Amino acid sequence: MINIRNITKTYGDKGLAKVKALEDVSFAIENGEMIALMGASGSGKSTLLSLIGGLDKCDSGSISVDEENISALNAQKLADFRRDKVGFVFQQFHLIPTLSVVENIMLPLLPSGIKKAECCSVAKEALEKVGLGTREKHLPGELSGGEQQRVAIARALVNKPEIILADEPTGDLDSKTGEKILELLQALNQKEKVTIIIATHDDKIAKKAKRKIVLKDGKVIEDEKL
Amino acid sequence: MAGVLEFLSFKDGHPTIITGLSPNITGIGPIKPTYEKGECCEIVEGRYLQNTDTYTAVVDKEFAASEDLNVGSKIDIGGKDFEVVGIINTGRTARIAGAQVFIPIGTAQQIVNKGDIYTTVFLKLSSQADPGAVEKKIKSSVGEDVTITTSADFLATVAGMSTMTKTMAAGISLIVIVLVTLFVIKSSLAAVYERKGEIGIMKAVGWRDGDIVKLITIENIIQSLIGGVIGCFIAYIITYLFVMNANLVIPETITSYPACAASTLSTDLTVNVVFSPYLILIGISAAVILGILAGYAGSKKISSLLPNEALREL
Repeated sequence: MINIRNITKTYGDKGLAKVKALEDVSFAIENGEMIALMGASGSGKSTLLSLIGGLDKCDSGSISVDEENISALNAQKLADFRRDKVGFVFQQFHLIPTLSVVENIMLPLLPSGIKKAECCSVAKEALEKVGLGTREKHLPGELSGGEQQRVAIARALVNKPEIILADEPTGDLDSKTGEKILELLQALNQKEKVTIIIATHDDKIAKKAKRKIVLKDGKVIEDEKL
Repeated sequence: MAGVLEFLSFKDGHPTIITGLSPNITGIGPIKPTYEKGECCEIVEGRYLQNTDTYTAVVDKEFAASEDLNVGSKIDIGGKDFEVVGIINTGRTARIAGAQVFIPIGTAQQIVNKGDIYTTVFLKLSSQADPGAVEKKIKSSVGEDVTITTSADFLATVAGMSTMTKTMAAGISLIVIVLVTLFVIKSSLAAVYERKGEIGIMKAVGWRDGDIVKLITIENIIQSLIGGVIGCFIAYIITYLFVMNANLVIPETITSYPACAASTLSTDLTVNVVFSPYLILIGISAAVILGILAGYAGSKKISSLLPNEALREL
């Protein structure tokens, strides 16, 4: 369970104008939910995902995942939290272009001390799950946008995370490919009970979720079950 | 062995350097007369001294020109007239027993009137002889005040110059090492900063700061190891080519050895490029240590960034 309590995040320092990205945001997410985080550009969706996933720190308030306050974790424990419990899917895929598909998927496993051969076999399994079993030796640049996003999803699942945070996962894809990516995320949610939070401004995507949370100017203005 | 007697003869207050030598000894001594054109000690006019000569002189070409002397001219030495029988070209470098006028040793000793004396004695040692032992023996029989110049002195002079050069080279090397260290750290920092986005991805998927420092440091060790090996190889090739093509003839002016001596002094410096595993080990180790320092400095700084800050670079 994810508990978000009164979190605030402000950007801008050193003389720059301050922008309040999130202001007093509170809600809870049950395990296995699939949530669409909606709102216009700049509403605070990506910031909220970053804070839930431990990529950034909030200025005030707290975020607990399975009763562990991640806002209070040091850098090392926060890295362990990201590795063990969270998988990220970004709009621009964020694959390392010089590594092959399978090496990109192995990336989260390498620091855990698992042998390279085992990492490779787990990564191949994840690649099979997203339907790209034959492309393991290709470089990301040799794949289509949809295929790259599948690789990113395989990388997100390889550590068997409890939560997948997807920031505009279909934003750079055509509608047909985007649909397939969403089906993949839905399947993960239904079959493997992974909690999925998708930040989007597309209503069609939101309809696939079980719950919709709408943000405006850094505040939650709507929270409804679908 | 050949002995010479050097003295100055004054006329109207002007000194003339005179060397008396044995005409019959040509294998050793301050000059090696020859009729070959362009050679050192070429008899350019007339003849060289003969064993039977008395009150004859061979005059240095430069001196003859300045004093307007020719073969057959008379020259006053110690109040006696000497007939010029030859003009010789002795060169101008610093040397022992170099003179403006060369006369037979017997006549020289008569003029000086101090008996059978010599001011300089030239010795040619056999290949088995120990120069040190000979030197000791000379000092014990002639006296400690005697000045002995050996071919080893020339090497000592060269060694002294080499030590000076070595000290200068060490100073220059130190400056180069400091500059290279700063340059390597700067380029390593730049290289790590170029990978900011990549490091952000690693952090996002759960890499700890320590994992990133470890990875970049290992990469730097491998790179610097390869760089060190290639560097040593290139340095060896460049040194080899330099030594093969360098003009390593030492100028004769740094020694007092006679320029036209009967026996020649080897002034060709032979330098061999020695393959030193110890030096290579030091070179590669220095490169690796530098790589570790540069990698650690760069990765430590960038790994402390929050993943989100690093991901913004993508």
